[in-house]
Amino acid sequence: MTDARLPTISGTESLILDLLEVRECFGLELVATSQGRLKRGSIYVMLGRMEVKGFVESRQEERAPGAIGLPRRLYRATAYGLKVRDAYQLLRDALALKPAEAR
Amino acid sequence: MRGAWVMRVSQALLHQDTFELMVEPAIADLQFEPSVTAYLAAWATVAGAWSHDLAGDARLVLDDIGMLGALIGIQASYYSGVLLLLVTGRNGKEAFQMIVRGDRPEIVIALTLIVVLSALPTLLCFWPPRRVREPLD
Repeated sequence: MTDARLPTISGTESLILDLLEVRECFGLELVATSQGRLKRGSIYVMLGRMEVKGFVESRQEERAPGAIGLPRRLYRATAYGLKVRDAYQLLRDALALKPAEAR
Repeated sequence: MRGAWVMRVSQALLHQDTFELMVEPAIADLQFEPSVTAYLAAWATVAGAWSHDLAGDARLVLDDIGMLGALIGIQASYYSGVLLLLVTGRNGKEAFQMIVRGDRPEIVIALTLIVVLSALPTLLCFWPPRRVREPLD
């Protein structure tokens, strides 16, 4: 048996991966498209944790020379993140079966 | 510059990688679309990132609990031994039995204080723990 810890994924992380699967997004776009399920005050903490886990990756936006302020960050789902999300979805579906249905 | 205070406070509180991953994008949003909500969101992000750092640091300290326990134990044993021998004027065995019987509650309080005072400098020396980011698969 391996000692490696199994990756874990929360419902919110699955939602973020669903949104990022379609296209690369800014954090604010994720909040806007989530219809209130993601909050502006917690989205970057969540994305940061997901980046550490390897579920998403990010890059800084390309900006015109002389632009003021910090560059914003664009996020996209990784193949690994989508694989973990799908695996957990299968697990959830399997555990949701009633005993009679499992036969 | 907008968000300068958020940046200063979070750079003082957080690990550099946490700041870059979590707070910098929130400040970039604040500068892109400034509003009261954006400020509140940036401060909420700092609080969330700080709790993330504290939890991570606590986990790392707990991983080294054996070594920390040994370091605290060495200091506490030395000072406790000296205290017991000086205050009670007896040998170690009698002093230990006296504590177990509870004859001198003030000595028990002093010993507790010694353990706390031994733990504080050790924990301060090891906090925040050195972090090595694990490579992603």
